[in-house]
Amino acid sequence: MASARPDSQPPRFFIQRDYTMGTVVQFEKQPPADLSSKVTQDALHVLSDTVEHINSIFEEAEALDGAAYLEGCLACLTLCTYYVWPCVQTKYEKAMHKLAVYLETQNSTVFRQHGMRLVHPMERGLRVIEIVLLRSS
Amino acid sequence: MSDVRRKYESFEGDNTFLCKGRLVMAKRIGIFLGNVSLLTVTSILFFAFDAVYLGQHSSFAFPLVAGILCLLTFATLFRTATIDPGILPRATGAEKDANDHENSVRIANGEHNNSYQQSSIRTHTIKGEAMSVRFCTTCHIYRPPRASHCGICNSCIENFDHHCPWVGNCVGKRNYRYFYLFLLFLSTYGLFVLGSVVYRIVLVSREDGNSFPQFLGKVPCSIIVCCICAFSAFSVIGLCGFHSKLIA
Repeated sequence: MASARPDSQPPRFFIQRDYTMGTVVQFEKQPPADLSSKVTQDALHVLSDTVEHINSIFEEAEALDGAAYLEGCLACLTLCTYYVWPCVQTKYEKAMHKLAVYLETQNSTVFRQHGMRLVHPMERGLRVIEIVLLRSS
Repeated sequence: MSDVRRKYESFEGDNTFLCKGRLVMAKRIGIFLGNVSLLTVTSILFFAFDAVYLGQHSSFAFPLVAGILCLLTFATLFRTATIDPGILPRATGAEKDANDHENSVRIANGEHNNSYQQSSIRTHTIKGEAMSVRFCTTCHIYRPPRASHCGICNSCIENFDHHCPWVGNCVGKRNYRYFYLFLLFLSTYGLFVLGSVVYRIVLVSREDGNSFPQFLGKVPCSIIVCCICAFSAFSVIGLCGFHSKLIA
């Protein structure tokens, strides 16, 4: 889905959320239909791989594993105060930081040569991954 | 030097922000403050009189258990009341334009519920079942499944349960666990206090063989605590039971 903005603004495309598995955060691996005509097959392939990696980061962040359990116990023991301790980062915060680093790397290396830039989904309320098209190929 | 503006200062929903945006509550928190006051007063009365008496005459376990339950109740209440329940930020810029465009296209195609023709429906297949999500005209987004718009907070909330005035916040995805724990700890604390107070009254009535009106005069605060607990315990326990059934 593209947006029609004045020519001074670069066109943007959106990768929507994939709700087939429920409310877990996953994004659609299929690139948006209107983007396919504007970029190369190579770029679409890289985009698909990136979205898959983003999905795996979210899956890891939301997984109910030992670390999540320990965090819950710690929260109970410290009467929920540990969330405000400056030295502690929750598992989810760490995962979001990891995602930010990954997107930064992808944007500056792979996507730049294809003329695209991905926006961190947290900036859009985890609804979409926004793709800014800097130039069409 | 750039003028740093925090995001909460330009937030469009109806929320109270405290501690430079670190605490998020609903706009009107009067009932919440009343709730906190009631809990504080009851707890102070209990600890000042009954817990001391029971600690001396019965067992130290009474004030200890009550103390732990009290702290846990307040901690979970505070956590439920002051964290972001899962507010979905409004769409801005290009995303807003794209969503508005999609909405008008779908309305033109007739994909809307006839009762409110301004907002269209997107259909998703979730684990094999079809489910439709609605467009929110205030937030300019298609709500994710289980999200709902809270009229009081004026924002869409993820996994929206309800807006609780007692807690001064919506109960949504991010604070549901603390809300449930609050109900659990409050019920347990309330029952424990009620039981302890009744036990204290019984102990006092047995010592020295006081006559009925006389010994009541010795335990005025206990009576007050007992009444408050008895009246409020039923609704809290009921709600706790209801949410336990929802979770199970």
